[in-house]
Amino acid sequence: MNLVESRLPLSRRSFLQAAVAAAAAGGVSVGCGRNGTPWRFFTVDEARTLAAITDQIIPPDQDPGASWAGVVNFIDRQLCGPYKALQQTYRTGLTGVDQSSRGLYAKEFVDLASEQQIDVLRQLEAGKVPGAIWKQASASEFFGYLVDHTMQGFYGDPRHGGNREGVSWKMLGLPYPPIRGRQQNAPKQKT
Amino acid sequence: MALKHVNAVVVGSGAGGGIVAKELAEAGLSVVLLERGKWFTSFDDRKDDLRNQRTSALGASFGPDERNPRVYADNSGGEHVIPSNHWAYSNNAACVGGGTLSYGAMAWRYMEKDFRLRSTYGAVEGSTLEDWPISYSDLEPFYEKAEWEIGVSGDDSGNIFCTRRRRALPMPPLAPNRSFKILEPAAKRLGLHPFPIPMLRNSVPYNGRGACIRCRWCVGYACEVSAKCGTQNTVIPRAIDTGNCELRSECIAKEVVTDERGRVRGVAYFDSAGRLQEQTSDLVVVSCSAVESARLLLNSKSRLFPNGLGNRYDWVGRNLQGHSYTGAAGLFEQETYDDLGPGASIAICDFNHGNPGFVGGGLLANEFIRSPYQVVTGVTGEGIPR
Repeated sequence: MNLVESRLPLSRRSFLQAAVAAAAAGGVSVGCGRNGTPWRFFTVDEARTLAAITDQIIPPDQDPGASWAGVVNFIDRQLCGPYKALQQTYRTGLTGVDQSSRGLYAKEFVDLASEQQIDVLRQLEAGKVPGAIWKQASASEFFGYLVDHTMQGFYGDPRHGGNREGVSWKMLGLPYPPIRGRQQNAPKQKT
Repeated sequence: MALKHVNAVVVGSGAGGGIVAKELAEAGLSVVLLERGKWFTSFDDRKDDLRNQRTSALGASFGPDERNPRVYADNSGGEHVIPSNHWAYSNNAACVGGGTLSYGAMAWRYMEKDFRLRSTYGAVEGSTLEDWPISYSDLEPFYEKAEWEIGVSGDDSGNIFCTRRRRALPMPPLAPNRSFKILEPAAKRLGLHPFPIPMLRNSVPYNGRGACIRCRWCVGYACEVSAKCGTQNTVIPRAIDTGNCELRSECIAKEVVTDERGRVRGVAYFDSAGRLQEQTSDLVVVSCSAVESARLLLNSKSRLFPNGLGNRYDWVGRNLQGHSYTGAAGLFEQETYDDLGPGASIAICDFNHGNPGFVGGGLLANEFIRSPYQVVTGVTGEGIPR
């Protein structure tokens, strides 16, 4: 069973709301130099595509999904830090996802219906996606990064730019993990 | 200016080097202990679930850093230069205490058969399986000494598969956590022999340090209250207290230097300012982890040792194994988790040896506390969504 198949489909409206929220969450630019966008590394289009992808990996249901949780912000920030070496992988990969979407459904990824998005991602995962760009980059490897980094952004500590308001930890019923022995330094609990 | 000659240079201040430095210093030898990393305290460790020694997605708290790549050869022989957070790197912390600052701290003794694998299992095709030249009884006094000097809690008297220890462990086990209470009766119902894991962790005040506070930041982290026993809070301070041992941190060994007759002369190293130094000594102890010890020996080339030190038969650096283990997870109707550190608490040794069709075996234990990200990425398999 594939993860993207097993999740609830996402309405276009809720996606747009999420994308707007994600863009707002990423409003503070610090790292890689200003590129005329609210992001550190991504272009506005790249961030929209990535938000849509991550929302298929962890879709909103009764709890918020990946883009609301700020996963795009997380990845954007890490690409200007520990994941610097992956900048080109993301630039090429996100271009490739749109190229494949146009090849399969004649539309950009964000404009596809949810089932079509899932289909593109499944082919990406299998490494059998159309698009000239995938001759120079591995689709399945990029998909691997997307899944892993989405999980990090969603389930990781909010200090890294994702897991907004500790949303995934709330979902799991896990309190903000205290550091016993030096409570005075622990991040303030949000409610 | 030449550095003052000493009796011994110990390269690496981890599990091996820290202990050797203390033994030599207490015996009255002058010792220089070289360590490439820093001396961290728990306050240098901000307890981050994506940036720690176990989950180093965003970096490892105690190194090694990006200046320390390794070469990884894949199954088809292709060689890749990989950074320290790559899965194939087999990262071991680069700091005073080495891996013992941030380890999970299980304190296993080898079993008698582990010393006699060749005798037990015969010549296994495609392997280099051999017996050790020493036996369990040779080593037992030293196990005991280490357990008492560094500090081990637990109770393996219920482990019928190991030789009865001459002296009990110095500390009782920590109180059982929730998974212990579920696993112990379940294992017994199956006819297995569960017992509390021996661990290098104070369950009661010991050696001038307090007891474990049962927090979740254990394996992969520096203990907030120094209740976890590593070389950095036991033998290394004792070595320094003798007045005979000088610790030089942030010093990376370049090579073991030998003279024209093939005798060791000392160690060439880069100091914390990056200057090349040579510390001469009568003895050199290479104790900088399996991989880096091999690297240092291979880098110590000279006219008499063109393939590196101790490498006449080209075995240095071969047959090394990283710290890999496998696991299984299950879903339960009832709550099994209580967030009580260190998490791992109970084990069985029923399958260490004597498994039909297998050479060797291993212990089974419950897992350390895992972050949500570790759970999501660690639980994989057929039928489980990625």
